[in-house]
Amino acid sequence: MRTYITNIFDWLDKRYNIKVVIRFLAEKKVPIYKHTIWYYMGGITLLFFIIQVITGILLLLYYRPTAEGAFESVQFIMTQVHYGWLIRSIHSWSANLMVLFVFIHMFSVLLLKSYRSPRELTWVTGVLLMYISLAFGFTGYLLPWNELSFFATKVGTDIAGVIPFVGEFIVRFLRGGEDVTGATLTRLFGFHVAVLPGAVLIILAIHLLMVQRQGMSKPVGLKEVKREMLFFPDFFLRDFLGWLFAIGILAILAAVFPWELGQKADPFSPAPEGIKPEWYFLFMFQTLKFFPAKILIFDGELVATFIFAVVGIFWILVPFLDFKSKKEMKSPIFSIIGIFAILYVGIITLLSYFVFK
Amino acid sequence: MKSINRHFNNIYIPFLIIFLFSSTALYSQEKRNNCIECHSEFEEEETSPSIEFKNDIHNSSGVLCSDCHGGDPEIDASEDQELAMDPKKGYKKPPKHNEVPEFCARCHSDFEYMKKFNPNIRVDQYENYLTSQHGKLLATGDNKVANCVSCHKAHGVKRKTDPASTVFVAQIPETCSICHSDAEYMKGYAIPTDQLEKYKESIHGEYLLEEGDLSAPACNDCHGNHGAAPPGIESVHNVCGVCHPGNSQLFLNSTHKKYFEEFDFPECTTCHNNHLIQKLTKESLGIGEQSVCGICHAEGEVGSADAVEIKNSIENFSALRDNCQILSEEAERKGMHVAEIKYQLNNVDTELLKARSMVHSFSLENVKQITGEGTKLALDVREMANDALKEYQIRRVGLVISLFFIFIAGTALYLKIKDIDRRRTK
Amino acid sequence: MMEEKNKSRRNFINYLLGGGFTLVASSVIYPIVRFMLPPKSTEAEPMAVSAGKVGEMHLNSGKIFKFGRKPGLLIYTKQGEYRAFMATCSHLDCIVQFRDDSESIWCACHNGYYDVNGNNVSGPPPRPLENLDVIIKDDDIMVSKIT
Repeated sequence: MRTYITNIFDWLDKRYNIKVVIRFLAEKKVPIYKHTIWYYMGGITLLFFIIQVITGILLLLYYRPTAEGAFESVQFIMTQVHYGWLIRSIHSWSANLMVLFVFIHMFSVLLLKSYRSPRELTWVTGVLLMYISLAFGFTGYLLPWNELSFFATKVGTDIAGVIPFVGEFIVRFLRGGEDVTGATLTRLFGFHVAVLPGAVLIILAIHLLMVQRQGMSKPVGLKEVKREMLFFPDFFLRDFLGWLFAIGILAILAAVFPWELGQKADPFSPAPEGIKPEWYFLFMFQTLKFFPAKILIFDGELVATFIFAVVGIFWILVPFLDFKSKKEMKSPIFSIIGIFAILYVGIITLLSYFVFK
Repeated sequence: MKSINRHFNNIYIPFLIIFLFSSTALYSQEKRNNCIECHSEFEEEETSPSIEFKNDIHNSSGVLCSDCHGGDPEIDASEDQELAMDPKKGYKKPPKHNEVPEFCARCHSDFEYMKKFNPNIRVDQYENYLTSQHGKLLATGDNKVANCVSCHKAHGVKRKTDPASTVFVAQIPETCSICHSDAEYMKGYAIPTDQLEKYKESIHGEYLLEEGDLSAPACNDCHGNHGAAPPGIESVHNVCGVCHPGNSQLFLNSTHKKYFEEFDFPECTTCHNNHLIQKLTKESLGIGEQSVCGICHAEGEVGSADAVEIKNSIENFSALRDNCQILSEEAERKGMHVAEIKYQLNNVDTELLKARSMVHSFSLENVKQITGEGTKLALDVREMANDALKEYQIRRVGLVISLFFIFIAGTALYLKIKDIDRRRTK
Repeated sequence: MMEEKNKSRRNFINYLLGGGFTLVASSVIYPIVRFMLPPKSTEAEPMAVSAGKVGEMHLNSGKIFKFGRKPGLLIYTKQGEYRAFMATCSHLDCIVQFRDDSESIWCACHNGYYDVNGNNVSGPPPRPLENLDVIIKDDDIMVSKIT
């Protein structure tokens, strides 16, 4: 048995030189100090992503991306298919948990300044992955074709319309027509299961390769780490323990709080009250509402969208703008920006759940 | 200059009139109507004839003032009022209250004339009116009773399909109530004046006035419109049977028909009331205080046992149905999918409806047959709901088992990590 | 001795680890495999259901069949044509029935009539019945939604 494996290994090694990779991994180390826990966040995000891929592919076996059949097919999955309720519920819960951990991962990296040289591109790919995750959420939300998602998508795509010159085109592009219809569903479905996964695969591969190649970053000022652990198996097993824990939580959520399906969307009925996007878009949705209708001569919504775009680009460029951390100096400005962003997103999201309604 | 002008007019106007007369009928309709022109100079109120008539169905059909009232609209009355309303030109004074039906009937009973407007139009209104309570009393010289214009208005007549019309189905209760709910006005007729009040409380009123179901009956659907009269005792089942044929037929074939006739009971309304027809409750059956059966069947008398049995049979079935719904709702709350259960529950509801309808056969056997079938169906539904709840428990157990597996694996992993750590520190 | 004890301890942990992960893996894989096996009823809203067999009905008759989650009405006209409708009355959702005496569709609740084309002809129904497509396939009378 053992000889077989070594034979295969040798066969592969001769051709692909994999011993180098193995040796590299065997020597890779992870620093141990009070912030080590944040190193696990990316891994948990990855777990949820893998779960999304698996459950997503499973749902594809029965799902139908048409206005006539979408709702019924999801209903069919939940009632007729064995464990359909579980798979669908897990897909929905895991999607939300993934976005949550994307945020946690991103903010921990931001506050620990792990993005600084030489890991700028890891950050850039990471932020792109975050945007794609949000796009996944947005496109996936419509697919069950229920009342809430239908109108939320209507409102969501409407917002793009305020962008000057290209706004109308973007709305048409997203909707596949003037209005949210079956064409929109088919289109967003295409984005959700083909375009976005393709993009994620490439960027995620680059992201993970970079992380592995460069190893874990240590925070500014932490010159010398007293303790370290091997990436394999020490860190890997701990990562796995975290995964098990996450799977347990996910199972409880999916089974005890099954994701609801709601009512089938009726494009001709008036919008029901309390139309809201998913929680991770709420802070943006609420911010839009804060803006007055007119700011000087500009449309309030336009200004808000412009600010979102600027912040979005700024977020990608953080490693290149933070000159202090580049020189291994503390950069409190970016810590303050990070903490402010966490507080803003957190408080506005909570407020729109409990106060604004 | 002035004289030239007049001279010019004198020659020109006759030509103009000849020209207008020879033009098409449509064209002639648009010519000056001197009645309206002149009357609107002194009539200002919304309800005055010259203003109301603008939206009148007669006006839009091309019927002129003179077609009813006579006179000559061609003549500018500001110049010669006497000539415009000259009796020689057919002008008549407005009809008196008791002359109105005949006045309208000149056209509305003439099919030869009326079919120009609508080949399917009715022309029997006047005839019907003569048979109505209103018509009969009018003939005796009672000028308080309704004539055509009391309901249709005189100059603002609108189609019954126009929602703004006083005779639009949803407006009818209010229209009738103008007289019939006025206690002062109705004094001396020895009939109640609370019909509208009761009707509004009734299931019919609720559907028509609140739900906007225009197929729900208004006053005229039971009493007739032009031939309005209270239905006689023996015609009640026919009147109700127009919309409730099943119940009506069951009643006719039942033993009750014979006895009701014997005792002069007004058929359906004996139990259901007339204007205040309400949904019956479970207390309406049996022989309790609020029961309608109990009106005749006192405890221990003939039929009282059956009445109680019918009540029990329906009540048990109904309770089982409610139980199914509670279970189904519980399953739904727990995140189970109950669409199929709800479908079957609908069928149970249909059976319950049938059973309640079957009460009108007053046969315990018939009622029991339906509640029996319904109960079978309901038991299936209950089983489905229970299965759904069981499935929920199974899911819980499955969750606990897999959590236990995860716990074992996690513990093992934890021990492994500790073990590796221990070896490293050594 | 100590070495021995450690070794057996390590073995135990390894077995526990192997066993635990096998269990977790099976509790993940089991639902996935079950999910992939086709369920009993193969479609959500059936495109077409069999409402009956040719020859089962006699001329001028009707019958109720289950169309998805709602009842449907199949009628066999005097002229020998099959027609199908959703069987819920457009007035208050009672179930309608075919009447051979008047060759029409009738709702017993409030005496509403529809003709054999499903058009509301008298009584309270505000709208025609929802029409369904009928296709005869071999011996089966297949009914489907009109798309």
